[in-house]
Amino acid sequence: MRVKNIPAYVLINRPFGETSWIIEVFSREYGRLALMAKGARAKKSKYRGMLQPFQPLVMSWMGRGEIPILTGAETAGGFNELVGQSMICGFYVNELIYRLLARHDPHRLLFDQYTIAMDRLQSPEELHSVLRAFEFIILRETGYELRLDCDFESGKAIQDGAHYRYVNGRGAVLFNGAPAREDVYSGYMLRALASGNTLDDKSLGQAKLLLRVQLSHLLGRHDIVSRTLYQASCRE
Amino acid sequence: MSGSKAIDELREALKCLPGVGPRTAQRMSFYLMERDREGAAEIAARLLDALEKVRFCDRCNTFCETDLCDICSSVKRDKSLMCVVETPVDLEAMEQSGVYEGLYFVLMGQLSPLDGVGPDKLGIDKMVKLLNSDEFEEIIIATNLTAEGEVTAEYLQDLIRPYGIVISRLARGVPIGGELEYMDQRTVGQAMRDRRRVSV
Repeated sequence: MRVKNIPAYVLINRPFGETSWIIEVFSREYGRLALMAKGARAKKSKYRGMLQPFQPLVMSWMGRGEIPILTGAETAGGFNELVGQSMICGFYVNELIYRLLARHDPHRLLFDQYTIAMDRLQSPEELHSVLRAFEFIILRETGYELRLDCDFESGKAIQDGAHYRYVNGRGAVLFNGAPAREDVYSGYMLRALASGNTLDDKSLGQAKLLLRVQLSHLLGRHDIVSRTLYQASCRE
Repeated sequence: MSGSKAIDELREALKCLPGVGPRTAQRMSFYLMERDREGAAEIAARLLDALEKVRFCDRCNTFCETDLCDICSSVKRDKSLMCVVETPVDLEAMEQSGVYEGLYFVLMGQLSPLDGVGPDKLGIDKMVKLLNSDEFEEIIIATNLTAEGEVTAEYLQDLIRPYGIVISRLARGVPIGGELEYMDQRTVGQAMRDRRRVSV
């Protein structure tokens, strides 16, 4: 099979032999897959600086086996310079892709969102909103969408002024007590998250908790290393 | 299946080497048993010997056979400088350049979130002990210029900053003998950003 000029990102490259890499990529049309980048680590290789995480590329490859051979890679215009916390967040997004997507399972919508995320992560002030939007979409695209259209018990639409709890697998349900508990979310946040609107700082904090709980069901025992790194970067 | 349980087990064992899959492992084990039994005995003896003798330097964490490696025990080295590298191979590369006279610290790897390698899997605790016990004037972070090397460097910077020691990173840009025309755009861009002033 010969595949040409597919938008893709490198998730990680692992040395193979003296001069090659096996790269794990996330591509638009073919999802996550491994490719053999022959000679990419050689001194004169033009791929060495290019086949790095977070950079928008177009790749071509051929071969039938489990690991096709990379036959070409070019930048898809521009570079994403992720430094500091932006880079840690980039790794976090990559960890989610790596842990939650099976190989050879295309997710075009998610890929497009990933492209947006990699670009926007360059702005330090946007980190939290980029990550929440991406988490929401990766849950949806892998079949674990949050149900935020209505209260699953009463069937009534979510109200901005009301408060809700979220029951895993069922959805949001009205919470009548005082909204002091951590896992009680404002209707305003739930509606904004579902419609992709910008969230204020308080809502971002609530959304982080809600999404983290949902993701933890899928991630199981896997530790997310980039979370540890992010926490370390906030110390001081 | 080779007909010999021992060969099968040897093949399985060889698979632990990086870049060695089932077929390479099979070829290696057949070769050793069929053509070069002396070589096989030599490998076995050397492996056992190395396993017994090789340890990590108490100070800089690199491979050595005594408590302290040659560099750490040398009186000629500048004890106020520490260069942090990922692996003993990187240390070797730095030594061959012949320009560095300080001490080292070898992390024995790099942070790699996708492979599940966090700070707890590197020799970071040992490095922190060193920061607490010894007096350094400058710490040079010499991790690789890959995404994983960069995230490792960022982590180290955050870790070292509270100690109030000067932190520096290796310069990045045009390599010796490099022609701009043939260089990748990111390197050229980085070289421009990291340009240095040569006169006022």
